[in-house]
Amino acid sequence: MTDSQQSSELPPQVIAELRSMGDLQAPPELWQGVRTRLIIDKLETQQAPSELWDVVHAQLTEEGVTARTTKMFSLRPMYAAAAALLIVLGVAFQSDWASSDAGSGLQLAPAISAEARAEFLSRVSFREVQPHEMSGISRALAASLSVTINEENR
Amino acid sequence: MRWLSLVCISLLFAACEEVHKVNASGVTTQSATAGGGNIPDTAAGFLSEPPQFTYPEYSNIYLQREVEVPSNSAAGDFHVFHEALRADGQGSFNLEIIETMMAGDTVFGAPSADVAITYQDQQRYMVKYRDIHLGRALSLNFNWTEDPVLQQIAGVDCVHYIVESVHGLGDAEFWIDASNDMLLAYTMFDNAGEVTLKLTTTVIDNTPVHAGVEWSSPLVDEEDYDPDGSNTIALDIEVSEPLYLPPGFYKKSVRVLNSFGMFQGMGNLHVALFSDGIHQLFIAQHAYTSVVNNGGTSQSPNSITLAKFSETGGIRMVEGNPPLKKLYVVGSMPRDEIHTVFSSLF
Repeated sequence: MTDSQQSSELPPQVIAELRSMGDLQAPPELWQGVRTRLIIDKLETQQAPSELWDVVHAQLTEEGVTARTTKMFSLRPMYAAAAALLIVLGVAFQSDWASSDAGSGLQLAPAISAEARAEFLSRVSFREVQPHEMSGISRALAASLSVTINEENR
Repeated sequence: MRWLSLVCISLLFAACEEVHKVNASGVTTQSATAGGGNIPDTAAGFLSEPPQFTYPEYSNIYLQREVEVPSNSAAGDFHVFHEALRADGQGSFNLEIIETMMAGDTVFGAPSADVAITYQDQQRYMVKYRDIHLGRALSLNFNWTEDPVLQQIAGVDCVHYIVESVHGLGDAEFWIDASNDMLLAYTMFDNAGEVTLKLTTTVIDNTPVHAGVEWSSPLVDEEDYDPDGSNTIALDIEVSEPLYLPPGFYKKSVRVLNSFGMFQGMGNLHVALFSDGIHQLFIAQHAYTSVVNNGGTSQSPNSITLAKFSETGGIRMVEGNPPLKKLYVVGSMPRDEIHTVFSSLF
């Protein structure tokens, strides 16, 4: 790290460049990245207690395990901070849980741009009709996903 | 990475204080001391991975349920269908309508012939597709929250889950029997937060007598689709694949149905079911030999200019027929999603 990165002050050149960007909005992921960085920076000054394992082990033994684990938590700041750091690291190293579906070969459709969506939509015009004007196949498929009735026949 | 996960979990346990209570009925419930921070008193527990459900049609059971679907004619009002689900635990089941309370009515009455026929014909598919069955990608597509307070459905203590679609495709709530994880109630919402389907179990009989029951059976023969062409139920079309699906969706299953001649000019039906783990979307297609072309002036089987769209019971439908083919997209997705999927087929 350079001195300027460790300082809370940004270099004058960067400040000038930022100001020259006017009303340009920062992307939402920037805040996420900054927030993660702030958490890590804060935790780097924390020293994990040497008796950590003893405390964890004793508490787990004391609390035991219940049949239905409906849980809410009040966070103890020191341990929560340490857990947050490890979770951040776990995500960074792509833990097993995060990639479980990807690892099984499941292909999920990605989000597409508004332009690509508009291009698809431009291919077809849609005319809205009453449900009973749709074919029997459409109505049968709809009926298998809900309970559909012919409201004309009520 | 497993050691890292274990350490994380251990730290999270250490970071928490639980308060256990036993209520007057002997049901153990757990609540929390919301120790400051940003956790409100009413906050529920976020789940790191989704729960497992079981489904009634795989048990020996008799249930009565009320199903609510939005009315087309009375905005904000619902039709209520009181139905009975019976299953023998061996794979056979039956779904019958008992009574209905249509939008605007104040009491239940005998079902109309139209509703009775719908249940008679569609019972098998309503249990298979309308009744929610969790699929895959549940952690990636949804945020799961467990209500810390047990709730009762049909006199049974249930765990209540609140599920938020990360892609804004519609949230859901589920209630499962705390003793066996059986799904007893659910509410589905559209992307605007309006209820599209609500099911609530009202009666549970775990020792039913099945006398003279006519179990459901498929309306037509069907089999898994083999793209290599080895199906006995043959297709005489080139299958169109969507270039767009709603984010997080995957192909869940593909079937071919022996529907040749069901309607004039109709060939066998190819039905692909797509899902994000909770919502479902059908894309169906079949050969169609009618000279009438509702798809506009195009003569290519892979192009179309006009399609019909409608909506009923919280379900949206699009269909169109380019020459020699008919295509359908049906699901509870927002209108824009359904239209984009359909358009991407051409």
